[in-house]
Amino acid sequence: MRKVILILLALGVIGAGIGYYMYNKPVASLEKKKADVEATSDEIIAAYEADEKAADGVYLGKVVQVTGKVSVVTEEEGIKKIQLETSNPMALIICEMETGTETGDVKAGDMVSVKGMCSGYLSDVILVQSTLVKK
Amino acid sequence: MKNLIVLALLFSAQIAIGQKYFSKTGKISFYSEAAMEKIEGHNTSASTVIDAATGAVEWGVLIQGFKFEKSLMQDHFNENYMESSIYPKAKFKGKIDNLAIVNFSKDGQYIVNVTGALEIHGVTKTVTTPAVITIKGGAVSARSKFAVAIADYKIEVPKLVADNIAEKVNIEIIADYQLMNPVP
Repeated sequence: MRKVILILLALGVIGAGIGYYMYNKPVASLEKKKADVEATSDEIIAAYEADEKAADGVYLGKVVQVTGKVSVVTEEEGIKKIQLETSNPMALIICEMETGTETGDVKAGDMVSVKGMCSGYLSDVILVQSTLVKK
Repeated sequence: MKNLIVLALLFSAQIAIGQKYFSKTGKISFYSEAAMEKIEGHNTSASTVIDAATGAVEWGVLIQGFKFEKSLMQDHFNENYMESSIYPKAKFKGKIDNLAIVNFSKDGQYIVNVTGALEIHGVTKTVTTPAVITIKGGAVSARSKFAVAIADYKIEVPKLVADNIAEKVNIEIIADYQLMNPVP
């Protein structure tokens, strides 16, 4: 009987431990995650400009790997953004990089692939938690 | 010569009046301080426009772009409360009520009231909030703080976690604006 109680107690502690761990788990990096969709910056912006709802169905909340030409790399208060050109000169794919991500020597004019979670379309399409995809 | 200066001044004033300012790096943070838990989320890619001529103000933000400390907070925020796959954006469209007090070509801090339609979770409500517009060396920035009652926006919190989520959530917004170049 005592053994059973001890085992139950131990299980309880382990369960609580797992619960506590799950509760405090930080937001997972997408770096190791496989992309749900791959597309070029032009394809994504064209889809959003044609039909935002339909495009949300394809991209919103998904891990998207986008390939395009860098318009500019910015950094403000530690937040780096790689912005990709699209066929529309007024619209960009803005990739908010994951905190601590190195963007290395990426500069305007480079062709890059970036993987991030698509949060939708304002006048640009925004990816968050982005990382550079190594070639 | 004098005439020329007057002309130049008139011209620059004219330009200043018709100007629109925008930002794509607007920051929106919210703070829920309940008995059991403090939750905060931050978004650094909000879009906003101020029209200096009409006082029109617009903001747009993507719900799935909010960042949290803990993964579960982000999941619950998106899936249970904001239902961000159905309502991916929050929007504000309004006007500066007392635009006349703001001189966009003179340095200073101008305290204004902004009234407009705030859409969150697919529900639109009229809100009025004070805001501060700061002009410094021609650069325009704006910030505001206000609170929203989540029940107003039909965001339902299960009784079980009622102590973890505040009934009124404080929202802070801030943006450094750039001059919008007229489309040629």
